[in-house]
Formats: sequence, structure tokens, C-alpha cells
Amino acid sequence: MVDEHQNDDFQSPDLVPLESEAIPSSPESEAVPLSPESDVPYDTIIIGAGMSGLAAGIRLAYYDQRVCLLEKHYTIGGLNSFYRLNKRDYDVGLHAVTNFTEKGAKKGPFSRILKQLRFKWEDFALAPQKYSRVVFPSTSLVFNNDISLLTSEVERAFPERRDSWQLLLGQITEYDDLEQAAFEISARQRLQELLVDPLLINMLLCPLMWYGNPREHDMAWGQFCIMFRSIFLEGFARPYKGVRLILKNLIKRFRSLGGELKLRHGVSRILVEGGKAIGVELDDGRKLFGKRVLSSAGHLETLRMCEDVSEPDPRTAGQMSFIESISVLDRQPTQIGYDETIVFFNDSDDFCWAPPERDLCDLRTGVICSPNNYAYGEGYENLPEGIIRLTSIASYDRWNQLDEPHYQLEKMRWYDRSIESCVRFIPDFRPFVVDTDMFTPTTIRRFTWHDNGAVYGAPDKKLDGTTHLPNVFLCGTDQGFVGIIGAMMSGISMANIHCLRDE
Amino acid sequence: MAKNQICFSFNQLTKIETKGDFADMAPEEIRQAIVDILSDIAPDEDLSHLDDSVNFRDQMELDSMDFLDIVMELRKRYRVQVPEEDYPQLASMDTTVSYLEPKMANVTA
Ligand SMILES: Cc1cc2nc3c(=O)[nH]c(=O)nc-3n(C[C@H](O)[C@H](O)[C@H](O)COP(=O)(O)OP(=O)(O)OC[C@H]3O[C@@H](n4cnc5c(N)ncnc54)[C@H](O)[C@@H]3O)c2cc1C
Repeated sequence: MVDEHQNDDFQSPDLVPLESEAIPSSPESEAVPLSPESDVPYDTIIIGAGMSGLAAGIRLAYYDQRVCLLEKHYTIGGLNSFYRLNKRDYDVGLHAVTNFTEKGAKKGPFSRILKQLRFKWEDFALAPQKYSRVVFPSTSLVFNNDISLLTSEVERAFPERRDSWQLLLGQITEYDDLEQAAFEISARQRLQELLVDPLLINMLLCPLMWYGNPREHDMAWGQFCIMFRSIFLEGFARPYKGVRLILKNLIKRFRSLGGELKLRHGVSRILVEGGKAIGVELDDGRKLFGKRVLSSAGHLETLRMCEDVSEPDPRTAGQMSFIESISVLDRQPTQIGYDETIVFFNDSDDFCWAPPERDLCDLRTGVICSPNNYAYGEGYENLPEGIIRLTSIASYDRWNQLDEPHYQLEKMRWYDRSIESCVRFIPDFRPFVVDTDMFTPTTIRRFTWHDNGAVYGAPDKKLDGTTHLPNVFLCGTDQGFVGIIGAMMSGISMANIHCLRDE
Repeated sequence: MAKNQICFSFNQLTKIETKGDFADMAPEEIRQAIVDILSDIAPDEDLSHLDDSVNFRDQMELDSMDFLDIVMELRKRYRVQVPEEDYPQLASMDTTVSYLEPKMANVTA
């Protein structure tokens, strides 16, 4: 992610994030004065061109709606965008696409997304993970995209939990996605009753919280089930070309269906008249009118835009944010003995999922991922350079309070510290590092406008996607589904439920 | 009227023209229209063995999102409106065709 502190040369050609083919430039994205046509209301105005907004946009444009996708940033992708720095391509977020299913699978969110957006399985060119690991000091559990490996690992490390593991699998399969009451149950409590063993519980919670828990300490049972399915029952994969390929497919499809994308068009207000939204006002004061608004900006963030809401409660915002330390190596990670796709580590038997109490970051736990370690298969060489990404828990408030010189200093310090922490669990790759990049919660906030740079949004989800206004709806992170696949699923379902039926 | 509004309705018109005259749509053509829609919605399904008297759900992998798509595609392609309370009528090919027959005949572009 291009960091505001780090890059004064923000507009240098190297940093222009768009491969021209990736996001065909469109005249509308320039800040030209709007013609009187803007008085004709759009069927749907979508706020945010992240995964959820793009997926929703495709659905609506496909069914001939006049859709306008407004994005404040100069590129698409939101929390999962991409950038170029020192002549290297980086993904902002992509470790793994979750919910991987093989070609021809008819169930599961990934195949639903393909169907709903009319893509072919090949379009996303997903290569499955090799294998991943959850490491705690006393034991580790290996898993891949076949649940039987994890089952055998659990049986090996926790033989007396054999039967309760099967019970758990049953409950997860039965869990019904959209039911708010069951969603809210405490996952820790449920697991306590079922599995009893605190170490096993923490070892399961660790990866699932890392990849999708907006709440501190505990996790909603619903979120646990959704994440369990998407990671353990389905699995990890990645396109060779990373998130660029996914975004390119989405935006091309959206445009080909007549959808309008306007970059650098931030929404400052949702205009309300007679208890309904009538359109939006942009940062530069221009207005666009629409029959309804679908917002992926976040729940609190959206409420704050509504003219009729004076002070939404800021305590409802999420707090979980991260730093990402990216290391480029002069060799493939496997050459130094790092074979896993992803490693989730925790350095004691207690697993603490909360913002750091005293420091800028909490390095006791983390996620290590190498995009090199996917089974790209025939016809692909491996990525030209080795990459190891590390995510650690960080405090938005503390990073945000630093002045510029300290910010730079702390970034260097915490890059070193975070890597030092992670090489306790994987081979020490530091001698082979040729380049690094790092971003912090303030970077995330700056490029996605999510309060606190909260990666998984608010702890309380709005599963039905409604707001206090009858024609303003939420999609994406704060509606409830997170991650790349989750966000797309959210965009699709909210478009279906709220924006297509009453046309 | 605004330019893009005109474009928009023009698009719709051309779409309708390419689909021909629905007033004459025979049951067999309606069936084919549904098969076309299904093959777009569920490209991996083999539709050649579809049993018209059996519920779609019992012979192919269709969820509620797919059902919404059948309804939406009918609207997009043929401008046929299926109100929500009539969704059960689209359970199998036979019920769908007989439900749509009068509706398709009424379609006048
Ligand atoms: C470091 C990191 C690593 C991650 N790794 C993974 C991973 O490996 N796998 C995975 O599946 N997921 C991962 N995620 C999570 C995933 O990226 C997100 O869950 C998903 O992209 C969320 O999409 P969204 O559409 O809900 O929200 P967003 O992507 O946040 O989209 C919202 C958009 O709205 C725009 N916006 C906000 N306010 C306004 C406004 N007022 N006007 C106009 N536009 C506005 C924002 O700029 C943004 O583009 C990661 C995230 C991060 C940050």
C-alpha cells in the first residue's frame, strides 16, 4: 500500500497503480463538471469500488439498471487493492482467497459468485495452497484444502477430542448463514461446551480470528462457522497474478454491462428528503441523484454521511487493525526451508485477540504467508522473487498519534521487531531480504476510510443490510461477510435482496 | 430527456427486437427459452436429461439465488414480470411453461 508518510513522490509514475489494461480509464473518472444529465436519477448509487461494491455493481448493471459506482480513492479494490513501489508489484491484502472449491463444484460461496456474476471458473485462475500450519509452542496442526488432513491432525494431537471434533463438524455444516440470533452466540462458549480443551479451542480460533474476526477476545458463533467453512472445509487459493486479476475481471465485466465507475469521487453526504435518500453529495459539492444507495463504506461511516443523523456512536466502530510487513527475498522461500503457504503462530497457549494495550503492536501472534507457495501447476513458473508477508496486530490510535519523524522511525523498528518475532516459527529469512515494504493502521485508514483502519469492520454486523432509511443499504464488511469472497458474496446478496426485487 | 436515458431505453428496445415476437410463443419455444436461461445460470449442469415433470431443485443444484435469476432473466429477456407470490409456479419445467404461456402471449413490446 502506498503510504502517505513514506512516499512524498505520491504521484510519481512508478506509483500510478493502474496497469492501463487493468482498469481502462474512463472519461467519467476525471473531475469534469457534471452535465445536466446528472439530474436523471440512477437506479442505484453504490458507494465504494471494493470487492463488495464491484460485485453488487455487476449484478445490477447486468439487469439493466443504471448504476454508478463512486470511489473516493484513485483506484479500485479498497481493502484489497494493489500498488507498485520500487518497480515491484504488490497486493495490499491478498494472502489467500478463501472458500476455494475445485472446478465443477456446485456448492459453496465461490461457485455461487461465479454463477451470479456469470464468470467461468477459469476466469479467476485460482491455484490451491500447498499446506498451512497453526503453530503454538506445545504443538502444531497442519491443514490443507482437504478437511481429512486437519481431522487426522486433531486426532493425533488431541486424541481424546476425536468424537467432539466430529460433533463440531456437524454443527458447522448445519449452521444457517443469515440468522441473526444464532449468529450472535459466543463462539468461545460454544467451543468450551463442545471441545473443552482450551489449547485446541485457541488453535482453531487463531486462524479463524485472524482471517475474519472484527470482535475483540471472542468471536460470534456465526462468524466462526462461516470462517471455519471458508478456511477448513473449503480452502485457500490464489491467482498467479494476485488480486489484480480478480479486480480486472470485475471491473471489465462491470464496464461492459454499461456500469459507470467514477474514481476520485468521494461521497461526503447522503442527501435525505422526506425520510428517504434522494442521492449523494460528492466531496467537491456536486450532487448525484438516485433511487437508492448501497454503501460499502461501513455502517458507522455510512450513518455519518446521512444528513439526518447527527452523531452516530463512534464506539460501534471496530478496533482490530494490523501492520503488514512485506519482505522480498533473493530466492524462493522453499530454498530456505519455508514450504508452508500460510503459518498462523502464537507464542503461548493463551491466545489474545485484542488491540495492543501498551505498545504500537502486539507481536505474540501473527500470520505469515508466502504467495510463492501455491501449487500454480503446469505452465507457470514460480513468482520471480520470493515474498514473505507478515501481518501483526496493531493499534490504530497509537500509530495515529505519532508525528512524522517518529512514525518513520517506528515503522523501521516494528518491521524489524515483527520479523524477529516471526522467525521463531519459520526459517530465518532475514539474510536474503532485498527489499521491504510495510504499512500500518493509518495507511489502511487513509486508503479505505474505514474508522480505525479496522480491517474487518464493526464488531456488530448488520446481516440484513438495512439502515434507518428505507432506500439506503449496507454491503461488504459491515453487513457481515468479510474477506474477498465474503465481500463479493455480500455485494451480490444485498443487490439481490434490496436493489433488484422492487424494480 | 437526458442522453443516457435515451441510450438506456434504446438498449432495451434492441434487446426486445432481437428476441422476436413473443405473442406467438409456443410452449416448446417457451421451454427452450427456459432451458437457455438455465444454461446461463447453471453452466455446469447437463440439461439434456431434464425431466419436465420433476422439480428443478430435485434434479439440479439450484438455490434461492438461482431462482431469483430465473425471474430476473425472464424480465430482462422477455419483459415478463413474475410477482414474488408466484415463484412457486416455477418449480418444474411443466409448471413453469404453463404458468408462462398466457404471460408470454400478453407480452407486447
Ligand atoms: C492487510 C490486509 C490483508 C487481507 N488479506 C486478505 C486475504 O488474504 N484474503 C481475504 O479474503 N481477505 C483479506 N483481507 C480482507 C479483505 O480485503 C476485505 O474483507 C474485503 O476486501 C472487503 O471488501 P469491502 O468491499 O467490504 O470493503 P472495502 O474494500 O473497504 O471497500 C470499501 C470502498 O469504499 C470506499 N469508500 C469509503 N468511503 C467512501 C466515500 N465516502 N465515498 C466513496 N468511496 C468511499 C473505499 O475507498 C473502499 O474502496 C485483507 C485485508 C487487509 C487490509
